[in-house]
Parts: sequence; C-alpha cells; structure tokens
Amino acid sequence: MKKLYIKLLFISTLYALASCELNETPYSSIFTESFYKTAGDAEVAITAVYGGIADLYSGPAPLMNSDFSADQVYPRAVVARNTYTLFTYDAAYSAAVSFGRAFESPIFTWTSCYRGIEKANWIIEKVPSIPMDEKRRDEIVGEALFIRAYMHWMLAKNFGEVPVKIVASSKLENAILKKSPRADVYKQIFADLDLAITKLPSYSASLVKGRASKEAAQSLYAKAALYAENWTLALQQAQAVISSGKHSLMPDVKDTYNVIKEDLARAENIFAFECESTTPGKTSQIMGLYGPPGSTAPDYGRTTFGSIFVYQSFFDSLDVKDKRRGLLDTNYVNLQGRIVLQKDITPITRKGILVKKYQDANSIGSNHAVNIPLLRYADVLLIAAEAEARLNGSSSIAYGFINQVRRRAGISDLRVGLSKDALIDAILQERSWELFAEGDRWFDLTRTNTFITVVSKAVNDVYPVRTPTAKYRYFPIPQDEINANPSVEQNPEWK
Amino acid sequence: MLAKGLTYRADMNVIQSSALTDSYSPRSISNTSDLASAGSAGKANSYGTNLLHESILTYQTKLNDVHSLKFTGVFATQKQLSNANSISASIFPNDATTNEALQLATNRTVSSSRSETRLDSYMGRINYGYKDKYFVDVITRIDGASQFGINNKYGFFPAVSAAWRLIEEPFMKEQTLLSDLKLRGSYGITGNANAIGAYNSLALVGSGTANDYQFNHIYTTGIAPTGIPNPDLKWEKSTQIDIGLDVSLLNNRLNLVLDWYNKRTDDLLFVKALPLSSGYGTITGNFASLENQGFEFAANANILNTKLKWNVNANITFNRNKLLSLAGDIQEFAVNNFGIIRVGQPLGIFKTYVFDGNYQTGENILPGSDSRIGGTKVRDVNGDGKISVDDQVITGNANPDFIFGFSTDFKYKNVDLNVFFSGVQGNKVYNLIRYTFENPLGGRNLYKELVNRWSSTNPNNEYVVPLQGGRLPISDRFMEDGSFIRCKNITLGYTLPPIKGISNARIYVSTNNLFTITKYSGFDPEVNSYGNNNTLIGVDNLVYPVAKSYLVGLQVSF
Repeated sequence: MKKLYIKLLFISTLYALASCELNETPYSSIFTESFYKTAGDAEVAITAVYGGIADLYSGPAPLMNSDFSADQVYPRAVVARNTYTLFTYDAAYSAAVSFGRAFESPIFTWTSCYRGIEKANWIIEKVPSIPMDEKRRDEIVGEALFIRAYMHWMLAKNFGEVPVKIVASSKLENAILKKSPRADVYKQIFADLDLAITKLPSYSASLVKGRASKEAAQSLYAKAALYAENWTLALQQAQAVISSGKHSLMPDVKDTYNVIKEDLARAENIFAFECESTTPGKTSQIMGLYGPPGSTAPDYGRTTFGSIFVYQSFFDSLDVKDKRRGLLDTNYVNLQGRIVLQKDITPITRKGILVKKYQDANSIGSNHAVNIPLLRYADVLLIAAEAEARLNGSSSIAYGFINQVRRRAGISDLRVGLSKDALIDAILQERSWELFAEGDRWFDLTRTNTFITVVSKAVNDVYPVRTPTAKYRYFPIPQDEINANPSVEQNPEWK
Repeated sequence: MLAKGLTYRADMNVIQSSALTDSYSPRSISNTSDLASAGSAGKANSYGTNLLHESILTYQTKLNDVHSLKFTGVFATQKQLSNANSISASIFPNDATTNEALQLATNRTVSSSRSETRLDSYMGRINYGYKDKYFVDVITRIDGASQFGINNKYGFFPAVSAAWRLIEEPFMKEQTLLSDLKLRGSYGITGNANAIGAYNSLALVGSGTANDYQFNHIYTTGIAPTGIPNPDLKWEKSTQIDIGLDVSLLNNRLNLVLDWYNKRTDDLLFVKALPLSSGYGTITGNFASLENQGFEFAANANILNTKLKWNVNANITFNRNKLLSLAGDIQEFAVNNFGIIRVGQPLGIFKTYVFDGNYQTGENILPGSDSRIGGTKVRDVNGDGKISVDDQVITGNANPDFIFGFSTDFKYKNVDLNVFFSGVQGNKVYNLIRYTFENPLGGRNLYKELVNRWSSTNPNNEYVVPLQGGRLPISDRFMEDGSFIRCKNITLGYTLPPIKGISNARIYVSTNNLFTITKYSGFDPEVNSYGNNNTLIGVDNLVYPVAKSYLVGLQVSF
C-alpha cells in the first residue's frame, strides 16, 4: 500500500513538473503566421477569395435588391422581398433580418463584400513574399486585387461613401474603419486595378475557367470609371478590352445564357460567378426564383418557385424583332407538355412574364449550373459608347459601339443625328434592354440620378404605387455596422 | 501525515468519455422531385480525456490553546483533451444500409479536430481562529489557463473573509433564545475562464463553405483566416463583497442564513460583435463590466423531533444584474434578431416587435410591416404610422425575479420521506422553436394548431395565413413566462431491521421531475439552448427535455 502511495506521489509530481507550460498547440488549425508560406498556401488562399464571389451571390443579394428597386422586374410580394420594390426598408433592414431574408438584402452585400476584401487583403500582404513561381505569384496577387476592387465597387455603388479596407484585420485596431469619400473609394479601386492589369494573364481558352483575366480587370475598370464619371478613363479601359481582340459577342444572344454552351460563351462573359448544381457546389437561388411557380416548367429548372416577374411595360419596350425578347416569355411549356398561358403563369397577376436568362433544365433541385454573368463584352461596348458620347457627343465611334450590340440583337442601327443627350439616353436604354435582370439597371438609374422619375412610373397591377425619394439613391449603411463601429456614420439622408 | 500537523494529499483523476452519433435521413421521406439527391447520413465520433491532479499540503497547529492556525497550499493542474471526427454523406441509392456504409453514398464530407486546454492553479490559504469566536481566512491564488492570450495566461486572485461568532461573547451568555449567531463578511477577487474554449486568442486560418469556389467546373476548397486574434484575452475578474448572518434559534431547531452580496465583474468574457466591415462577425474578449447584486435567504427548521421527525428547508435568491459598460463607446448591440445587450440593462433582454394579432379583412396594413391580410400585425409603438426598427422595443427579460427551493423530510420509525421542489419566478423565455413550428415555411412539420390558421372564413388573431412567403416577424408572441415550480424529487425509503453482517440496509422508491407547474408551452421551462453563452440567455431552440424518472433502490452497507 505504502509502495503504491509513493509511486503515485512520484507520478503526480512528474506530471506536475511536466506541466508548467501553458502555451497552446492548435493541432487541427493553422496559425496565420505559419500560413501564406508556400505556393500551396497561396493557391488555397486565393480560392477562398473567389469563395467571396460565391458567398456574395448566394442570394444573390446584389441582383435581388437592385433589380427589385428598378423598373424591369419585380418580386412576388412575399415578406421582406418587396421592401426594395416598395422602398419600405430601414437602416437595420429590420424586415429582412426579422424575416430571415438578410442574405437577400444589402446588409448581406455589405457583410459579404468586406469578408471577401479581408481575404484579399491577406493575399496582397502576404503572398508577394512567398518563394514560388513568380508568374503564378503575380497572377494570384492580381486576382486578389481584382476581387478587392470588385467588392469595393459593389459597396460604393450600393452605399455611396464606404470604408476603404486595404489592411488585413490582423489586430483589433485594424477593424475600426472610417468612411471615405466616394472619390477616394474609386481612387483605391483604380489603384488596385492598375496593378491587377499588370499582373493578370490575358484571356485565352486555356485560362483556368473562373479565374479573372487582364480583360476582366480592364472591364471592371471601365465600368467603375463610368460610375465615377471619369469618362476618359472609362473609354480608355473599355477600348483596351475591345482592341485586345480577346472577347466578342456571341452571335446568338441566347447562347450567352445557355448552360450547355457555357464554356463557348466565355468569349462574351468576361467574368462570371461560376455555378455548379452538384453537391458540394456553389450556386444561388436565382434559377428557382425566376422559374415558374410549383416546379412546373422543365425548361426553367427542376425546382422553381415563381418569385420574380417582368413588368409588362419593360417587355413592351422591346422591339418585336429584338432577339433579347426571346430571353423573356409570356407563356411556358409545363411538365405535361402543355402551354401555360400568360394569365396562368402566376396567381398574383394575369400579366406574368418570365425571364429566361437563368435556366437550367438539368438542375439538381433548385441548384443551377448556369453561371451568373458579372462582366460581359456587350456591357463593355455600351460603356465605351456612353463614355465616348459623354466625351465627344454624337460621334460615329459611339454609334459604332452601340450598333454592335443592336445588330447582335437583330434590331436596326440607332438613328443617326441624335443630339448628345439623346444618344446618351439611347445608350442607357440599350443597357436596360441588354443587361436586364443582371443587377445592373438600378445603378444606371442611381448614378444618373433618374431613379425617382423612372421608378415611380414602373408600376403595374401588383405594385400600383411606388414612391422612391431622394434618400433611396444609396442603401443605408447597416445599423449593425454603426452599432459596432462608432467611427462610421450613417449616410446623411438616412440619419 | 508527514509530521505532526503536516499532511500531504495527492489526487489523480482521469475521466474518459467517448460518444458516437449516428444519423440517417431516409430517401423514403424525400419529395419525388428531390429523390436524385436523397438519403443523407452522418457518423460522428468524439473522445475526451480529462486529467486532473491536485496536491494539497496542510499544516495545522494551535498556539496557546486559543489561536488555531491552518496553512494550506494547493497545486492543481487540469488537462482537457478532445478528439473528434465526423463523416457526413448524401445521395444514397437506397435506404438498405442507412448510415452504416457511408462509402455507398455519392457525396461524402469529412472533418476532424483535436484540441487541448490546461489549467494550472497555485493556491495558498491561511485559516486563523481565535477561541472559536473570531475567524479570519486569507486566500491567494494564481491561476493560469492556456486559452488566454500569450501575455495574460495567469491571473492573481486574493480574497479575505472574516467571521465573528457573537454567541460566544459574554453579553450573549444570558439569553437562551439564540443558540448560534454568527456575522460573516468577505471580500475577494475571483477569476473565470469558463466561457473560453481552446485557441480563442489565436490567429488561425481554416476552411469554410464561404471559402470554396469552382474552377474549371471543379469544386475547390479554400483556406482563409477565421477571425481576429486577441492576444489580450485574459481572465474575467469579479470583485465580490458578501455580508452574511447565521442565526440558530431554539436550540438549533431553526437555522437561518442571510446573505447580501454585490459582485462587480470586469473584463467580462464574451463574444462581441465586430464591425461588419472588419470582415468577421465576432471576437471573444474582455469587453464589458457587469454588476450582480442580490440577497439570499435560507431557512432550516426542525419542526418535530419526536418519534416522527420532520425537517423543512427553504431557500430563496433575488439577483439583479446590470451591464455597466461595453468596450469601445458602444451602448447597444444585437446578439441576434431578438436579443440585445444594452448598457444599463441586464444581460438577457429581448428586443422585439409587439405582437398585436393578425391583420383582419379590410384593415389597413402599416407600411414597413410587410404583412398582409391574415398575416401578423405588430404594434406601431412610436405611432409614426409605419413599422420600422424603432418599433422594436424591450419586451422581456430572461432573468428571474427570484429563484427558490423547498424540501421537507419526514422520518417515522423505519420509514423516511423526502420531497424537494425548486422553482423560478418572473423570467421570460424566448420560444424560438414555437416560432419555427408556427412558421408556415412549407416542407416541414408544424404545430397541429395551424389547422386553425387564418383565412377569410376563419379570421383569428393566432395563426397566420399560410401565404406568408414562409416568414413571421420576430415578435413578443413567442416570448413566454418561464416561471415554474418543479417537483425535482420524491423519495420514500424503508430501513430494514438489523440483519447479521449488514450494518445498514434500506430500500427506497424515488421519482425525479414528477411534475412541473408552469404556463410555459414548450417542453421545459428550465431551458437554455445556448448554455455557455452569457449573452444568449433564456432561449428555447429545442433541447432534449428533462427526463421524468422512477427508481427503486436498495442501499446496503457492511
């Protein structure tokens, strides 16, 4: 007995001595200090940055709240989706949060963009000192710069003045940011893209599908410059994409959105959210929302809800010859092979019109493989046209750009001899026709500050009255941000 | 015993635990349209080891027969190791193998983790007593926990307490009413590390679904930082003052214990919301100060001491807590969409819309409410004609007015009976699971009461029209009174007459949680779905309810 006691005493003393160490060993995690050290680290880290795109577009919030606010499509009035259509949201996005639809709302755009930016910041800070293949290292940093610029632009167009975040949150002090004037936000976007362009590879068929190219950075540059009203820069960058000869319009506009021809359509789709319907896979709700209710239309997808329809006025604005009208439909073929007429598409109106940009007949449930286009060559042509028109008035060069888009759509060239303003209006109208339901229109209306007049006229039997006011030009900064960050002030109109 | 008055004791404890969790969701319950992806299974293993060692050295002596002194030194160290792995799989060809052959599934995901924490404590204590009349205890301890930041692993926690047995004073000798009277007081600092898991202060990277993407149509896993490190993470410190009085009356047949305390907690450990623009949601740190103040009262009465012995015990505690400050000039933030933290308020308050029934046919739907006829109506609290976040108000408090316990023992000859009740009064529980089951989202079970949902022919103020788009606003409809009285235990025993070779034998029947008196509609009012989280209190998001049990037992000692 005594022997055992001594033994135990010995063991316990040993144990005690061996234990004066409180430093932690995180067996199943990696320290940031020991990460970002190898080529493999850099690759998985940049994947996570692209994961930010998938995160942002999972709703996809950037399409839903902007398109619902504009004059092309409207949501079936389920709770907290119609708040954007009706302009009834508040700074806390209380309906969206309370009803569990935050991921469709600007609060998610805000959160997700900064999540993506943070991951990009780590790459930009750490990857340049990794010993690895220099070309690939440059590309990775270029990709991170591109996505950081994309996210800042997304924030700027949604919220106006936002914090510019270019330092990783490696300590708590870095997490408290102030807002920057819009000009400074764009300055940062341009600086990131200037650098990205020097690092990214030019587009080619052998480029890894889904990765950003130099042309993607130039396209984003052109678009951001257009939003910043720097016409020279917008034209210069758009022209760089056009003159590179790397991209072109798909001969048939429908093929741009055809999931079967997705890789072919990369000629036009310069950058997209890469979706797959498999599990695990990154996809969004968008196919299910645009397809008819009750999963009754096999062409649209296996599981569809009938949640978004097109204003009749927008449909009617398209020329009957316009091939883009073929991306809309006033009837559909159901599972039994019978045609469902317009009056029966949705119970909420007899004038339901469907969007066919996000169809995937082989979807798995509501998971679609069809990509969501983010930067298209047609958009670049129209940016070039608008920037040229704003710089040089009614020039033949501007006509040349817009007419490429019109010819592909099968409509006649734009009438010559328009005044500068009329030409710009025509280009904005063309943008609406070309880019509808792609999360673009609302920002055309807000950057030109025409949204109040345009949107109040975009009404129908479902939404007979819509009354946006000046404060809706930018979404309010989420109250959660302001609560946790006393150095960020709410936009003045929303105070 | 090492020498006279000097003893050493060492304890070693090893606790091993292991768990296996099996789950299978069969194809047979899937929608036909989802059959292509149906059948999902899980298998999760976890192993834990808890090693504890304690060395206690004591020296006890008495000087001049009046000064009693006891010195105690303690070293304790605790190591917690855990290992876990899990596999989940989906898309099975059929239900034949359920979750026993995950390799048959089309998709499989795996994960594993390992963690370790340790806690070292060094404690010194001096107990001094003078003539059984005056007592002073001084304790100092240093605790070190691995979870804390690199420079803050150790905390120093001194305490002092004193007691005065007034009954021993000469002026008390005359009276006979009181059999004991003791005044107690203590002041000290204690530390807390409970809310902190392993590696909470470190800068780590990890995987996560928001890090994955598809290149060349192939799913690719990414890795990114998981949060902001907090090298300053340190011990939560509470400074407590306690004043108490022990009174015994009638020859110790009635004993009363009264305590008043005030506990101020600084460097409160909790999970704070970060600015969304930081790229992360939360950080664990020492970000608040909190005050708890309360009064405890316990009584023990020996009512009968005849052939029939009857004892009664009762206790009641009133506690009030108040958040004194939050770090970084913050006054309020949301814990979730119904709970907030606000300076000047207790932890665990609910901020919601005020439920006002359903919108009835012809009623004007307030803008911003986003409701419809037959949908939930929430009150326009500020009367501005619209519903906004300003109409979300503090509607409840998860902290009780008081908690209490009551027990009674009877003993008659060989028969003994013990009954024990406990209860809580005046707290609110947010019944999140009722919110879920009243929410006509589709594709899942609902409460049977939803048969009586609103329709134009069945207007009511209870259950909403199903065409809600699958959402209900967060309102105080789901906040319920969590008061209860629970019969925790009843035991009836019979001590057998002496048997040769057995010193004592008793048989008993016992029942736990026999009944609960409550208005709460969920399974269990004594619920806290987010156990360790000190900002999410009183939320019922479905927990396994407490079991009612009946026991028959035999106790034998030799």
